Amino acid sequence: MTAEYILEERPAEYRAESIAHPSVEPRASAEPAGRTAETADLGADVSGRYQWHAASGPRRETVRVDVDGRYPQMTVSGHRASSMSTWVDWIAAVAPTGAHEWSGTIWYKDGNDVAALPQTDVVVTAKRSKYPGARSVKVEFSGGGGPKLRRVYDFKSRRYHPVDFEFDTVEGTVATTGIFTCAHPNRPADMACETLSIETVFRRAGLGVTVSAGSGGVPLSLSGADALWSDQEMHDAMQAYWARFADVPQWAMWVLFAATHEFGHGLGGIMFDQIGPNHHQGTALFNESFISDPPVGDAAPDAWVQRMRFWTACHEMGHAFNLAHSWQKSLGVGWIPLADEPEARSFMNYPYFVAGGEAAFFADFEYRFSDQELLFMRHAPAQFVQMGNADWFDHHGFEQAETLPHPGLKLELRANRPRPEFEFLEPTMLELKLTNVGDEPVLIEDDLVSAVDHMTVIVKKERASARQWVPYARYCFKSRKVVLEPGQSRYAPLFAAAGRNGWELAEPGRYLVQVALHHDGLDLVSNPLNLRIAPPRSYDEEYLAQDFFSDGVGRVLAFDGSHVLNGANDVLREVVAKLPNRPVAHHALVALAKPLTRNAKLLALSGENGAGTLRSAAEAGGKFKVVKAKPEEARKQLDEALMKRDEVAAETLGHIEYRAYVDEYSDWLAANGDAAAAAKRQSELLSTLKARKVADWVLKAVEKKRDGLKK
Amino acid sequence: VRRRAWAQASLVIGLTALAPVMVPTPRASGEESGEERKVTIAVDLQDGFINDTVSISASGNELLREEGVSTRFQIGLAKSVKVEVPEGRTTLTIDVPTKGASTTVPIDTSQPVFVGISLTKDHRLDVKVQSRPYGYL
Repeated sequence: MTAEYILEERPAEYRAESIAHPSVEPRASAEPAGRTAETADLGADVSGRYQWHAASGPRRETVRVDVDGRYPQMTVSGHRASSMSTWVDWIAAVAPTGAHEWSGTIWYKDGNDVAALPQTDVVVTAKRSKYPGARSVKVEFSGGGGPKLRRVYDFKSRRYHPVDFEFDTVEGTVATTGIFTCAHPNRPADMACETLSIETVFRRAGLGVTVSAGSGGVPLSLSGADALWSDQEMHDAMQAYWARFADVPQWAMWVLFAATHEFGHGLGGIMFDQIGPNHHQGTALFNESFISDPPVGDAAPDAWVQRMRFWTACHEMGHAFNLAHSWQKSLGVGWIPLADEPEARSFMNYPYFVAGGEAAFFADFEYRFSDQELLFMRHAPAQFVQMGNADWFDHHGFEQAETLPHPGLKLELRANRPRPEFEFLEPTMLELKLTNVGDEPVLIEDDLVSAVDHMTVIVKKERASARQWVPYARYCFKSRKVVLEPGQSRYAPLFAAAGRNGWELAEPGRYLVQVALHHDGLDLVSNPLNLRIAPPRSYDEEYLAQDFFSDGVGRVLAFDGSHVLNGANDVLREVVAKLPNRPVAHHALVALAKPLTRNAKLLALSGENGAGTLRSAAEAGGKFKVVKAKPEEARKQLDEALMKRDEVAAETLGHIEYRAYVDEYSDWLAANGDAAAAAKRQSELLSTLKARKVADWVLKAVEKKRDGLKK
Repeated sequence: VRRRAWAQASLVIGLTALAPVMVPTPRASGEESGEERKVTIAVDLQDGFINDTVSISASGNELLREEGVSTRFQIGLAKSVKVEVPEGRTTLTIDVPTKGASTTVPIDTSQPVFVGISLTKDHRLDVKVQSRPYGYL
């Protein structure tokens, strides 16, 4: 260290860090996480992260104010969660309008509840204090036809996001995680000479950096006999040696310092983690590559190498924040339209790509990310930036949400079988049970459990991204309030196998399903149900699956039949013919039979009505025609579906649906003059449900109905 | 994962091992018989290819044709290949028929030369030439 060394107020042990060292452990122990995350570096007294929580319920908001300190972007952004599963992200460009005030226009909104933020303008007023706990900002939202909204947010951190780094080193390799900025003579004339660490680089980018202790050393043997690292080998090493490894989104990354990639000398580093469902968690750099080849005649070759290795580490870690190369910004689907920055003096550019080459680059390089990149890291929706993040609600989405347990209600998701295993092709019927587990009666909507409008259903196949089940139809009912007494439950079936996003539960494998009911400003989250879909048993099943897992079949099953989707009906007939003894046949028969029970209206259109010829139904000669009921065929199929193999039918259709179908069948028989047959079906239903140990109150209700039909 | 799809490409053509490697023609008497001498150069298909076909020709002869070329965006490289080109001054023609892009680039293999060609968002081929190999990060 020399007298030139800087200049930041930080603990002495931090200043004493080495520029290059073989192990990162000393750094971790010299820089306690709690302190480094919040030690002064930005020099800001307003910029940072602020939060607001509703006094009750899950509503919460984060605001990031970025108006002073290092590299201010004159931006205020926020994340507003109005429930566990609905949110909006927003970003505003602001300018000072007073000593403690900034105002501007919201130019970006994203989320599934953008309507919750109609306002277009913000005014931010800061309450400054040397005590962090006394700081706050008041944000006034206005414009856009929305009401004026003022909200006060409490100071939480000077950093916009937390992030944890773990540096691991392959045995025999040196990790370069710090640099003396004036070691090389080719630098900006006004460059502040300092010992600069990777942590400081990212802290200046606005991140609350902590460094976890490394694993000591990664054995070179993990790279195989050739001692060259492949992406797969590095991913394996990451899983074994990164203490925080998990296939989940988290603000954490792993950095490996190694010698050589199997690509060869021409690869200096790579964000290798494109394996598995959670990407960009791991990066690596390679000392024995071109980044250790100083130009011939360079004035300070050792310093050149140190700088290049340090620069490369920051570059690869930038990729882990989902940053692209500077010349690629406009390509693909950016989070916002971005301009290329081919001349940027940024960690994300290639030094040798700028005009004048690498010498010109470093002559003007200030060890920073560009403003565009800082805006992204600080203010873009977290799911775009965070390591390992993926599709919306990916993996443990509910667990990540800040839900508050409802004091009196419990939501259960279950399958009507000893183990939640379903045959291939068997439509996955689940059941919801909402119970008042408190001591007081609870007022709920009568359709709270049954109406899909109230719920969010997430389906996640193992090793794949989570998906939201979207029902084929939503119904607009006028809800009425009912009292759920202590100990009482309400039940509803859930057909989440297919929806508007396609078949969510189809391929063989393990799945996690979880449901949230939105009630009274709270989200009631069910247990996560782990279920399994078995592999196909035969060629016939695999062949049928190609037609079965279609939108048409999904709709016919969801709506219990169709007079229009004839292709799907044909597939279901084929299922019944080829797999008559399998659970799927019961679903198919119900869907085929129910439309036959009564006359139906069908809108028939004549002529072409394709693209370019779209006309009204009247113009197209549309007429209603009546499709006649086929009672004998319906009766035969319903008996086959519901009564013949009753145990299988009750299990695969679910108790609630099974009972509802038999009730409906009985009512139809009675209405058509065969009350005896109707009563007989109810007797059989009673036996079946008794054998399956269904609750007494259900059995009593079935008995009552049977007896009523007998009269 | 929602992730960006990147769509830019560049093609880096370089001499292997920093200097031309003289490769005799199959017939040892090639020089005496007047056949032109050739050198092997490295061709790096770099940024922005998305399942593209790339053809490289010199003097009307197709030297290389690669199909299904896709860039790995985090290093800006799709593929490295090698081609033999006539020694000395020659003109390479690069075609990307899948994008309707074509360009030519004069090179002189008597000196180390590395050529980078990028496929831009508007399907233009952007050519760079330098005397050192490109590295990837």
